[in-house]
Amino acid sequence: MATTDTAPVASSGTANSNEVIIETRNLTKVYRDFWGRQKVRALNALDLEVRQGEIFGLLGPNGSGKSTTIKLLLGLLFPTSGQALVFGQDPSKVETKERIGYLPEESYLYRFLNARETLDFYGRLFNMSAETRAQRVDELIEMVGLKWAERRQLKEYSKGMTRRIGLAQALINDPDLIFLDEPTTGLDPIGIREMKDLILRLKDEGKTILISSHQLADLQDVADRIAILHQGDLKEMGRVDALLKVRDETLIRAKGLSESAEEEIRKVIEKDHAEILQLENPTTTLEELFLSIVQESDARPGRRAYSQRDEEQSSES
Amino acid sequence: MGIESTVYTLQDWLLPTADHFGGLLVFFISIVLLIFFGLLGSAILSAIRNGPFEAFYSVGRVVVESVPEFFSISPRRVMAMTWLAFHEAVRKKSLYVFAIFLLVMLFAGWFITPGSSEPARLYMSLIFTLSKVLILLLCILITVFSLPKDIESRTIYTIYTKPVLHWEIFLGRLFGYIGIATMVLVAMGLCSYIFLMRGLSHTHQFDGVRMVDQGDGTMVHRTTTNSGHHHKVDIGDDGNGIAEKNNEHSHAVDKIEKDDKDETGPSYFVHGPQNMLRARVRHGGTLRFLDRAGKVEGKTGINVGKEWTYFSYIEGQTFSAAIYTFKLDEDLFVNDTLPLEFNLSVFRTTMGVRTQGVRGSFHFRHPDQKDLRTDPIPFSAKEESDIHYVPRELSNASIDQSAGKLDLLKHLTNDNNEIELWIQCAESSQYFGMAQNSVYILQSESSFTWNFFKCYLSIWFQVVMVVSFGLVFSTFLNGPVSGLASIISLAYGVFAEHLKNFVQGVRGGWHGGGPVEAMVRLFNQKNVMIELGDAAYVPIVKRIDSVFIGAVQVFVHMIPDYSLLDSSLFLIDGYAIPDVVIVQQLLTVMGFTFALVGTGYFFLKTREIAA
Ligand SMILES: Nc1ncnc2c1ncn2[C@@H]1O[C@H](COP(=O)(O)OP(=O)(O)OP(=O)(O)O)[C@@H](O)[C@H]1O
Ligand SMILES: [Mg+2]
Repeated sequence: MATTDTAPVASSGTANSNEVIIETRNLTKVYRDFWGRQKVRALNALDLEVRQGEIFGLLGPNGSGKSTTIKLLLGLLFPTSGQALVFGQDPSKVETKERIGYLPEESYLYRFLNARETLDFYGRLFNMSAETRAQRVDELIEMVGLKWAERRQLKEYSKGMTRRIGLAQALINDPDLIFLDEPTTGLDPIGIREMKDLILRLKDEGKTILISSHQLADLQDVADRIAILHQGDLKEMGRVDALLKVRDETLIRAKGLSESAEEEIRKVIEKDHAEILQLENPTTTLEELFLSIVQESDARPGRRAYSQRDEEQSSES
Repeated sequence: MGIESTVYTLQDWLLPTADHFGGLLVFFISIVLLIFFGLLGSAILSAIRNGPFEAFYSVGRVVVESVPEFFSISPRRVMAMTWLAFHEAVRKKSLYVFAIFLLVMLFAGWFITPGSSEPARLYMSLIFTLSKVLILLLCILITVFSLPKDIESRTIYTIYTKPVLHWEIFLGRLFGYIGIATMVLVAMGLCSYIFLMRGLSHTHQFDGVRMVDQGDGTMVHRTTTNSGHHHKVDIGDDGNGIAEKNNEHSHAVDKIEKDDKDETGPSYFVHGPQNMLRARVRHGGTLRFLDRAGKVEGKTGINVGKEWTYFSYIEGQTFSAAIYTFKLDEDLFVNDTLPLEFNLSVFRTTMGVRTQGVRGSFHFRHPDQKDLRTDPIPFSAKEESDIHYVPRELSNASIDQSAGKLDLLKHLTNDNNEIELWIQCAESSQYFGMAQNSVYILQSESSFTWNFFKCYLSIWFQVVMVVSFGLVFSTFLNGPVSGLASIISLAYGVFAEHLKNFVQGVRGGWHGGGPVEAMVRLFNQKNVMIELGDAAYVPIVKRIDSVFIGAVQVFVHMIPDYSLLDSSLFLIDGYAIPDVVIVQQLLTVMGFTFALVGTGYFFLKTREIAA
């Protein structure tokens, strides 16, 4: 896990001493129709804690409640029960909003504005002065690589370009906490790489980031911890490397092993005598883990105790 | 609103009097009702959804936060939202409405013949109707769809996740749309003005030689026929003349001085139309009637059976009289005459002399000393504005031959400077109709251009109202429904007057009482004409009903009555729009806007934007 190695904020061991940025308690969201009848239970009793400087991933298949969680944390939705706290406050507070950035799952921007106008407009909503805005807009447009198209209306933008301007918009206020709802959708491979680099850079700057994705690969590379959601239930949560450890398997790696030797090793292992070249818990891919969780959850609905792994992980460190 | 409406002074309008609550009171009761029912309604709704505790918490939170939030409104953010709304409206091609306006204006010339007998009235009706309909439609279209669309397309998410207050979201849009509508309205106003001036401008030729038989043998000078009409010309002693009033205007005719005397005689120059576009400032009085025996005074005269009850009638050749009480002062006199203008309605029960108006007379009296009066001055009633320049000094020779001339101001006014004008009809079986505002002293002529501006200002007030209402509707309804609601509230102005009068009537006394009394009567099987008796519960029942009707009356005032915000009738009728009317309209609009901004804030704040 290259990511976690490069992280300056040293892993979950010290996480406890860090400030809790996002906290949800028993957070539940039921979508209702006009008459108040229940339509969908999109999120069910979610308990989360995200700490300062962490990249936290929300993973789950389509419709599992990732965006719902983010919207609850942004105050765009009101919880049916439970509580969501951002910086220890109600998410709809203006003071909270001063410190957050949000990249929506699709780019919900005004299509009749051009890139500069868009960023300038959002800058004004942060009460930034004209000079600060001009400078910040230049920086961001440069950063997302849209200098060449900055005067074109957003309705002429391609999907990836819109995504980039959406990201720039989320960063206009140099936020401490960033919500990225499926940040890589619509980006080309280079764009995805750039996005990941950017996320890591933001983390280096000490920002807290919450990413949702169903692109397992995205999270695997960048997230410190992930939570796996399925049909509104939290299925797994923990450090990425811990989640991926398979405990009841052993991988033996050897070189130039003859068939007889192999046979022998097997015997040896049975007797437990041989020299072990490499003995470790192999890691599964996130994809495998993910699929197994979904399968299991479909087979046996209801919540599964994720806490076991979580505790293990924290005691480990 | 127009000449027929009662124009209250600002004080009477604001404070409660016998026949109305007064603007201030209505405003405060409305606010209280609005807050009470608004909070109650949303608490109930939210209680159904999330339980009573949550409901109390969420509604309470809004109330607690609204005030500090109001005071932390940032002008920069409001400006940003305004800028966005403005841009959005421009991109929606809303300026095309102006193009439609121009187009209709250009073609309208084909249908409005300047030769019609009231060209100015026609032109102005068209201009104001068109401007108003188009601009209000535009306002509805740009406001009601924008917020719902923002929510639907979720662009609002990126706004809501920025530190923007709900006040700012609402105010920004409000200002943005008012801004764009104002731009369009100013353009419309300018074009209308030019169109009006050009459309009415015309001249005639006059050679000073040709005489035309008038039909009864008298020969008169006449101008050529232009724009479908011509004028009789009256040449004065100095050689200059006037083309007499026809089609509501006249022309000045000037002799052109020539250096070389040639044989063809003098030639004349006919100026553009005069007095076509007027802005008369009235000095009104109060009216009462005297019955045919000359004994009983009342607020109304005879009803001749017309459905339109604005005019009240007096009978000819009786003691019946219409009595106006005016406050006189020095400034009302022009060259020692008092310009008195009559707009009478005549009701004939016999044909009379067809070519002549029905004859009548008027005289002035001291309000307290009844025998101090002038000789009657005869006149023949015209059913249009008819001005009489009454000399300041009048004789009363027919009554007291020894007395000298009476000065209207010095001798005939009481301590309050009041004087009475008595109007009587002189022909039997004929009737004169009069109303509060139909006889007045012509105080001055105000500038038509200024009046025109004031009229557009009233339209602008309507713009502000429509935008505010549309925006509030759109905070909780979807686009088409908000549009419909806006249109309905506009249409309410058409019958608001009747409804208000009706409720006022019920309050003033109504057979059968209010809902509770009606219920009591239902169970006691007493019809509406029977007295309820004096059981102990009767006063309580009446009390409840009167509170109820009072609430209904305030409620009726809470729905906007756009007819009150329309001053075009003053202008079209050639009267200056009283300043106090503009001030009242301004206050009304401010009151509504104030309440609406609060309501909009409340809806936005309690709305779960992503649901
Ligand atoms: N506004 C809404 N009204 C009713 N139901 C909704 C609404 N928004 C989401 N849902 C439902 O809530 C559930 C969770 O939706 P959510 O958008 O949170 O999923 P997601 O994990 O973000 O999925 P995706 O990966 O497709 O973005 C889904 O079943 C969805 O149909
Ligand atoms: Mg989503």
